[in-house]
Amino acid sequence: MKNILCVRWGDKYSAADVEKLRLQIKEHCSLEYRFFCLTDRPSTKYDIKLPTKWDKYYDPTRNSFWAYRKCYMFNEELFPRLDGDDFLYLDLDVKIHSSINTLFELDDANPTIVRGWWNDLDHCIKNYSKLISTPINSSIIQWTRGQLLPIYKHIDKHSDYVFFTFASLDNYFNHFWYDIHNEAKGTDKSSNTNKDLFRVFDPGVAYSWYKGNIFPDDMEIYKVRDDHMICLFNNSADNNHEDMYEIIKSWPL
Amino acid sequence: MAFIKYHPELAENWSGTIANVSQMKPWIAERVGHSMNKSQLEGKLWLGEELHKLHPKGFNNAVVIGGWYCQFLAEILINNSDVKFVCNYDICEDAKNISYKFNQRFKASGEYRMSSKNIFTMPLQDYTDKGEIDLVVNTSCEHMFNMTKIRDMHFTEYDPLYVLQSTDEDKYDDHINCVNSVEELIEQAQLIDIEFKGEMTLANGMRRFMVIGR
Repeated sequence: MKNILCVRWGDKYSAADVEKLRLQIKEHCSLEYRFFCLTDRPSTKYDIKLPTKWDKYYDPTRNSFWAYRKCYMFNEELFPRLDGDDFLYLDLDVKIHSSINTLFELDDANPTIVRGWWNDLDHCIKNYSKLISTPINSSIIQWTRGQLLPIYKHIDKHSDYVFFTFASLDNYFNHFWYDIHNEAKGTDKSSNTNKDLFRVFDPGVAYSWYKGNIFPDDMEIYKVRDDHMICLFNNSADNNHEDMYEIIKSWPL
Repeated sequence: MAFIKYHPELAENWSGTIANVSQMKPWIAERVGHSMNKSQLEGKLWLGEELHKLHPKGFNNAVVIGGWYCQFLAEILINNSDVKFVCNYDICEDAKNISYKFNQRFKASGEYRMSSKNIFTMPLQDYTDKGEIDLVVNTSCEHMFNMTKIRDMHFTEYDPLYVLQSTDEDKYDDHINCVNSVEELIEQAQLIDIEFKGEMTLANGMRRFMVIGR
């Protein structure tokens, strides 16, 4: 059985947003799957209660974008209702344009995550040691059971350091689980053996409403690209939260 | 006034590195420039001067944490402060490659190594043939989590001397762990036996704190 998951906590999104995502998935996935929402406030039959063990490390003054709650799902054993082996995670602020079936047909030797192709990789590398400018985007993640357990264990083991150091989950991923330097220049990665965990979705799977599509040639923002699979609306850089569904109302049919 | 001896081998290494970066990695060129400015040199010379006053016989095996390109610090530690071996840990692969170019002479002589391991979560490189680690230098404490974690993970069996620098300048995004005073730096690192503590205002106006102790 395939599991399609989302995570909701706090007040930024409502149960209605989860339901809208569920309906989008229903329209665009013809495979057999089960939908779950991991949430701090379960209220429907597809909700599963989120653990709270890492809450004590969360400091909203420095971790405002630290979506650590997503990482509980990487330890599937915490959630007995997740009884399949294939997993797809989607953020709540995504617009699905077309069938997502192919996301379950990827080479499953590694988990797969969004590479923000709209990022200038040279800029990301320049800022690597500043812990900013990640090319990784965790709005969509595909994996099979157990593949992401090392991440859960790593955060659990080094919680104090990880929560203090990284301003966002994506920056944390970029530093420990993705080989940004090797992607760009083929440099030695012998000392960072975990950094090739993630593979990335090809261009064409996801684009960003606020940041564009592919650097440097296709960077127009606020542009509908319905030949792509998914539009991402996350815009944590300036903490400007607009209602995605209000924006979509104005899109050309 | 403290200084670095600008000798032919050093000149060859540094000028070659700058030329290489300009040509091959132009997006890094500005950062390399920043790493060599007046304030960077002031802070590192201050370290070398005070360390040499306290320990003129030098050290066998030094760990530098977050040493970046380490062009000033390697020269000051190895040639000015008689440190026989330096291993610089910096998480950036680009920094590793550039640092090896700046310090090619020390790499060739076996006096300098660099690792991009994140030693907040991973073990140190094994350089036990260089003797016990007797010096730990971190001139960028403001960029990272508390030194106590690194000490507890790696150095409890060695009891090395620590030389730590930090600042109260918190306007930069990557200054994630500033302190307001040298006393706060001492407390943050939980040092007890203090051999030196002081502060200096650099040419760029940044106030730097430094403590040397165990």
